[in-house]
Amino acid sequence: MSCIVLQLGQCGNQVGQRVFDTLIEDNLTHLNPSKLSIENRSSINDYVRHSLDRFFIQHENKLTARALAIDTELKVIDQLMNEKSQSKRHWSYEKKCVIEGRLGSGNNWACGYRNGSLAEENILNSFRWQLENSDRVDAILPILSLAGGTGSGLGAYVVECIRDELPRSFLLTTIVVPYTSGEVVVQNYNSLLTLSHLYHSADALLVFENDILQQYAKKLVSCSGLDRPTNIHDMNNILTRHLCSFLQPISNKNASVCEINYLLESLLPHSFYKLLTLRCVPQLSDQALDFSTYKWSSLIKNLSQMYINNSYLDEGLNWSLKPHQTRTKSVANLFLARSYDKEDIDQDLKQYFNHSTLYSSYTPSSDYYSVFNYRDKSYLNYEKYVSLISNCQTPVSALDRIVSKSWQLFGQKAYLHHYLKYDVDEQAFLNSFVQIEQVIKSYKEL
Amino acid sequence: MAQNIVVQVGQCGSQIGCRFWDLALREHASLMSSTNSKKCIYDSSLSAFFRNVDESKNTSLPYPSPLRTLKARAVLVDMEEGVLRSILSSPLRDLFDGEQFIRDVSGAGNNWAVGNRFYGEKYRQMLSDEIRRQAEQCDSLQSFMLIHSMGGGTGSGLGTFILSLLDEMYPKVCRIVTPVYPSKDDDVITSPYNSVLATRELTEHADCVLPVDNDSLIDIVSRCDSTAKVNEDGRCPFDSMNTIVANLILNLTSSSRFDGPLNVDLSEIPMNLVPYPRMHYLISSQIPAPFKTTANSSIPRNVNQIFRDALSPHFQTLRVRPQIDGVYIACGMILRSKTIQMSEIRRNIDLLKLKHMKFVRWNEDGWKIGLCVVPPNGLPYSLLTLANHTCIKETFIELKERFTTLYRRKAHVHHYTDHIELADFEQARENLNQLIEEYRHIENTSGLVKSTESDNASANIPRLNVLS
Repeated sequence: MSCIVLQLGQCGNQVGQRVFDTLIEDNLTHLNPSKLSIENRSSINDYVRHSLDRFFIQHENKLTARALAIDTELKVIDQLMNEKSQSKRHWSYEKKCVIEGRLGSGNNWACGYRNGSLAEENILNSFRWQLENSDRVDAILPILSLAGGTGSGLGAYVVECIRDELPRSFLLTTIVVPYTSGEVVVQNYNSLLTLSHLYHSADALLVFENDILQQYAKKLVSCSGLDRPTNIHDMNNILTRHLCSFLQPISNKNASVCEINYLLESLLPHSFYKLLTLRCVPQLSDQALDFSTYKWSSLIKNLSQMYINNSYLDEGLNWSLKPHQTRTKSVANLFLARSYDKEDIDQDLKQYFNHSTLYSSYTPSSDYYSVFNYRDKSYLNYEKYVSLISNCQTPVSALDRIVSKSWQLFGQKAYLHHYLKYDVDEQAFLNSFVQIEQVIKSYKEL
Repeated sequence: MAQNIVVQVGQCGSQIGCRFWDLALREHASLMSSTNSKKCIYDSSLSAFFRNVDESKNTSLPYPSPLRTLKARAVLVDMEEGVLRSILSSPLRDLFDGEQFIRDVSGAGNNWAVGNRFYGEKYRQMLSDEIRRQAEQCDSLQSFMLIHSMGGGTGSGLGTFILSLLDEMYPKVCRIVTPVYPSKDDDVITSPYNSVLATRELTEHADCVLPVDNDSLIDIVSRCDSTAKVNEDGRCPFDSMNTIVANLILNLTSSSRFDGPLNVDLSEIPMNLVPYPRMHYLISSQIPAPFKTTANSSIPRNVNQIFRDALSPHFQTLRVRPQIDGVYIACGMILRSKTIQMSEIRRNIDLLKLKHMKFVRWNEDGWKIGLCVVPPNGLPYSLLTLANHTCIKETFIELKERFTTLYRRKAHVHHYTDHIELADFEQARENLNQLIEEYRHIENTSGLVKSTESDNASANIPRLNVLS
């Protein structure tokens, strides 16, 4: 079983690279580190074998990422392919699968989308090469940001192409929502157009918000006692840790490893609800890990309070909120627990997450949440780690913000001529507005 | 990486252009000497404005390659011989091939119509051939940079002709114009005519215009350049003034040429700062003033002061007052510095936004920030501010008044009517009027002036409602 990562645009490439680094880092983290080396297959256990099979092509002890790196700006790609950084890693990209365009998109979604159609042949060829090198495809994981032109415009096009190429494969798209007031004036237009296209072509959208990541990074930096401003690497690290905790192998009750699309099946009961939110605990800096021990019950209690507060962070929570005052509702939840101990968390989950008020009225109580765990390996250096993936209302506020800001610009017909240059007209915008308004409404009515 | 072609037209354009090539070479030279002498290679940042030519085979080399002979990506146009001849006798001559010069001998006689219509038609073929030749030598052509004056005949007339030609030939390549507007007491009597006629072309065919006026250049030079001696007739040395404009282009393209945590591609500038196709006039200012020998006092001491100075009218290359009237439609800043962090920039910009800048209501997040790690040659850092601000209409109103004063009497009009109709004058004026009205309309919708009900209604359209 394998997953193919699509790194789209600057953000996608930075995050994608970190994803592979983190996967390797996690695989090398073990109780008894001396025993481990990825090169020697006999020494590794099931977990590592599954993880490597899923994300890397293994050939003569060399690891090649199952990834397509696509960008129109050469600077980022150059960094990826830089030999110095290649030699430091245990893995590399396949040259065929690094696709660079000569034409930037200049923050213009429409231009990026057009550039996508120009590069289509190239991209599909590389993609087919990846397909040939995987026995069976589990899920395809595009990663992109919504703000710029390349990741969003070209990304939307590529995801559509892949959907046409493999109509039945599972497409889990990771999207990064830009800062509320950001670096790109037209980011809300770009986000709107991307969302409406992805909502059509992808099976699920895993939403991360830059504002939240920044807050999170600030917290971690100040916790670890460093006096420095946060930077983009801190934020990318947090994002990839979250993401990888979900991508690494996990098993069901019978202790057999589950596929990613199987995990997500239960989360997506209806094709109109595709927005996923990922919350993880504990939220600690690396320095603090050695001094902390946790109990499952306290972790899950934290998670439930984060959920009720509609927050991604375990800080600044209002602990007096009760489940019936919840600020978010969901269609379904999924828990992934990773550790070395064999304790059961079912009791704790029942206590904190079995309230009907947390769910939409038509979710049957048997479908409230599902649980998976891995009991022979903890995640990175975390003694215990719980990830909660929910199909809930949390991302709606970001969508709402994007729509209202772009609607304001649209009302003044501002910036539209740039898009019209590449054949995206007012009607296309209106269609996107209609679609995203519908999504917002259906989530709000849960 | 993307390439740009500089088209310099007329006397003013040629002089600024030469200053630009000189400074661009110095910038790259100082970068190379500061890194490693072995690293004298032709890289992507050099390719933005230069070709690397193997003289023996007469072919352009792709980057990266060892440095051979550099040629400028430029087209030099003048209808008089003087300036071009002085280029040919300067050390810069090796940058250009003979084909890159397009020249005549008799000049346009300060007449827009002669430059635009007569010479335009006469040299159309030659110009388009040469432009195409330059464009074919780029692997991804990003922009055309036009430099010309607005007051004379060749620069304003033929310059704007070339602009419309470019629009026709390469509609999707970004066209950025740096026009130099004449002083109020300009010695060319017909300069208001020329400026208004040329402004119409700029409004219709450019993607981005960074207007510069002579008066404010003089102000900056006399304030900041201690080495420049004011001539006996009270005029400033043109060289220092040209340095400012040449640096404007260098700073503008810095973020697309060099690395940085926040890259700004050139095409992103119109994309973010120009909400309506005609309102593409950006007011620029540079901190500190780009002189190597600048008196120490004018180099800001810390980050906070840079941003405080950024809005100061002292450094603007146009005499307008954004602090007093009008609103910001959008604003861009390109910072060049090794040491300044993103978080410091964010904090300062939040402060500016809160206290000093009034944005139009529907575009309060209208910010574009670029951060480039290569500082300008000889300075620790620099900040280029590009403001799309409604106060620019004052410049146009003033221009229109000077035009009207002349036109009321139809003075000097007969020189023009050999080549253009009277209707062209009317249309150009009407076009300018319309532009002024458009800026006024923006001010109205932003709630500065008591708005009428229809304005209010258009400002707040309720969002779409989904029926179930």
